[in-house]
Amino acid sequence: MGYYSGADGVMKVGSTTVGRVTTFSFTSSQETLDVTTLGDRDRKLIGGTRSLSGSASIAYYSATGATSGDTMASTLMNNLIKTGGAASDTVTLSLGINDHSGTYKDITMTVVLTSIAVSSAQGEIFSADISFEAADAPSGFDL
Amino acid sequence: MTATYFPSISPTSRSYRPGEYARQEFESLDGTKSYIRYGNKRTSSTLDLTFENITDLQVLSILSNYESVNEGWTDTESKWVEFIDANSERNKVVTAGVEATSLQDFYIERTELKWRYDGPPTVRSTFPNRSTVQCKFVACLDSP
Repeated sequence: MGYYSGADGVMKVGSTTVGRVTTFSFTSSQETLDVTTLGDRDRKLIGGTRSLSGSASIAYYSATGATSGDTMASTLMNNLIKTGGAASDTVTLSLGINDHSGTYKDITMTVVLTSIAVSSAQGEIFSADISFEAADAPSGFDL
Repeated sequence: MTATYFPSISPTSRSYRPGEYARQEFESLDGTKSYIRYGNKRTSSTLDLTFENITDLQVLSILSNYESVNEGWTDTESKWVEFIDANSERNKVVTAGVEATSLQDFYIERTELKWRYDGPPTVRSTFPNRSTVQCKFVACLDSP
């Protein structure tokens, strides 16, 4: 199989595979530094600061015998939402795919959760939409 | 008197004022003005150069130039900044983007005016190996 689809996608928090994730995405971007000088008629740029951000949608799940991977929506909410003024936790995320040989290929990074949107609507599954930004350079990348 | 060549780095922006003619102005009670001129040569030209996102080596060359221009002065010998490259006649510093050679002559100050630093350069670090440097120069007539 040369192409991959959502069925091949894997999201991990720490070493725990998130069991109820429906979508995830990430975007890598880079700022630019302008090095154009007098006399130039064309803009000249060099690469600047890189950043990584992304989002994921995880269905809220709880049942007898549910694993920590099944209840990850709740875990992530508890990483961001704190009572009593406690500091939020950073999270180690791995986003990747299982390739044709079954090898897990991913990007791993420590992220700061920037938002969690939870919605409950008639006819839809109760889920948490999380957004995150990488706190540093990725610690692993082999996609 | 020794000329010290400024490193050949193109600026991002350049601001030039041609200086003034030494004079004193008197205004009488009826509003009429009288001028006493003390010279027929303009002086105190100013040149502000900004170099954005230049490399560390280029920053070093500017700072080294600032030191070499201001060190080693004696009672009779001073130094000044020269923007005319010894090899290529006109370097890119003050003439970049200027096509009219007669206008370049103003910026270079091909008169008796001599460029000197009007204070130390300002270096602002922006990125690894990149900084923005601002230099201010003033050109004055040296006494004979």
